[in-house]
Amino acid sequence: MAEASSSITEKFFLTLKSSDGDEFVLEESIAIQSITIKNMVEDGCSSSVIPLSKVDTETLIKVIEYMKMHSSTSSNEEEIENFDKKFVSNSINTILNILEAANFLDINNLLELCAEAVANRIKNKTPEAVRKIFNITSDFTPEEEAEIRNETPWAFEGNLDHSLD
Amino acid sequence: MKKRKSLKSSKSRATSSSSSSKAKMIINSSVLSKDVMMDIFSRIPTKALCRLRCVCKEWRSIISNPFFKSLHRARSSQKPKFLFLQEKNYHRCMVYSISTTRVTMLSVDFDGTHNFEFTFTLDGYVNMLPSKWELICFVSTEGFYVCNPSTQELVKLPNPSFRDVKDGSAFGSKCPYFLRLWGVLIENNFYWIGYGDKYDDTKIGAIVSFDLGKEEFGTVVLPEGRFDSEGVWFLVELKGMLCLVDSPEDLSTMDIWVLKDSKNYMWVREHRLDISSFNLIFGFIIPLDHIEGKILMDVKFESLEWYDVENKCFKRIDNLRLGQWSWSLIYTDGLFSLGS
Repeated sequence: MAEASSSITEKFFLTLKSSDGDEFVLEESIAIQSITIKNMVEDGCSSSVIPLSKVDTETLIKVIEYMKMHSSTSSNEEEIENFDKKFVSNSINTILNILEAANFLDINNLLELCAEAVANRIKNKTPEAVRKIFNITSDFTPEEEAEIRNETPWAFEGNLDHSLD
Repeated sequence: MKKRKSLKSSKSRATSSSSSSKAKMIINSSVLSKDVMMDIFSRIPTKALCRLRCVCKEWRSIISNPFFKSLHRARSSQKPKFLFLQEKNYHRCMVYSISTTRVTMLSVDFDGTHNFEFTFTLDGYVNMLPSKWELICFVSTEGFYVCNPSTQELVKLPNPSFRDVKDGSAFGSKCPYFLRLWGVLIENNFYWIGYGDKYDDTKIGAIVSFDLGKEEFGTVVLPEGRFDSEGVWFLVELKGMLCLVDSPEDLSTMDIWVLKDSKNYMWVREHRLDISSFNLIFGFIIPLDHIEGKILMDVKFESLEWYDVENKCFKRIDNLRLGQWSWSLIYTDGLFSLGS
């Protein structure tokens, strides 16, 4: 954008507003890791508060934490790696919320990190445990479910994880 | 603190922020969109997806969606796995020489994690054919088989009109050479070692190629110079290029020739490995993959070793402990359905 050159010398700040109404002031250079916010800035839509109606306060705090760590010039690779490891040890519900926020805000690194974490958490779980985690009620009849299980009975064998996190 | 002035009309704001009108799913009172679910599922191995299909109708529908399958395939191909095959032949009746072969497939991640193991039985003697990505192909005395180990599907192909795969008639065209059963598939071409004489497999006649698109046979000019045509072991693919592996009679070294330019048949002897420390009278060292300056080797069907190209040394992968296998390859986990 034409005005981008002026940002070299001056720091710009943006205000993000969560769905709970809390406002967070963040350096623009950090916030534009989100392509959604970047587009808004480039389109000149960031002059006032940016409302993030799909992101609650708890999730937004985590997302901002992530963006700060991943944009800071002082944090080295090892620090980032340790941060990411700790970040994905959050509860699976927290990660799912962050994942959805990352999708909405279009922060690709964060999306990748959380999607991989969720995949790793659920890949060894039983369908019953997965249903509880995702708050899903099965819409199959017992007969239909038995039929699906019968198509690949080997997929239900072995040590499966029943835990809910 | 300074804020920007709005340059464009507020209309552009609406377009940039309303791009997420996707199919929604209620999860823990929050909303997880269908493309996020696809992204998560694309990182999950096929076996687990077969299990997650029964969570609910929506999940089953996502997992069987063709677009999802291609996403899953693209993701899996970034993370290949090992497949070890053990084959055991059983004689049922000596008089009529009826036999069956039990083939066990074992999938292992690069980090040593065991994924699954499964066994099937075919009539007659079984050999593995050049296989790539998700599918493993076999030929037995009874016919041709295709298997997707990830879904444990095994399909026998319709009975062919030919008996011998070695004379190339399997491809419906006349081939001037007899082929060694083992070959490689690179992009759209098969390559085999071919012999002019069916009864003499010591002297290589040519590298025979078969273009799957044009359905035509061709030959690849062999390397020149200090190349020993009697020491040829086999062809392999490394980094998408055809490679020829040969070794002198004393088995002290192993050369890997790489076909750098397939149009002008430019071969380069890229690697000469000292293999004198291996006892190879009853086995081979087979290059499987070339990743970041290291070549992965199947050593005598009993261990895998990384060969460090720069430091010219071997390093064994320790945590495999599988016993001997008959064939090993690198494959891709995938949902490809054989329609059985």
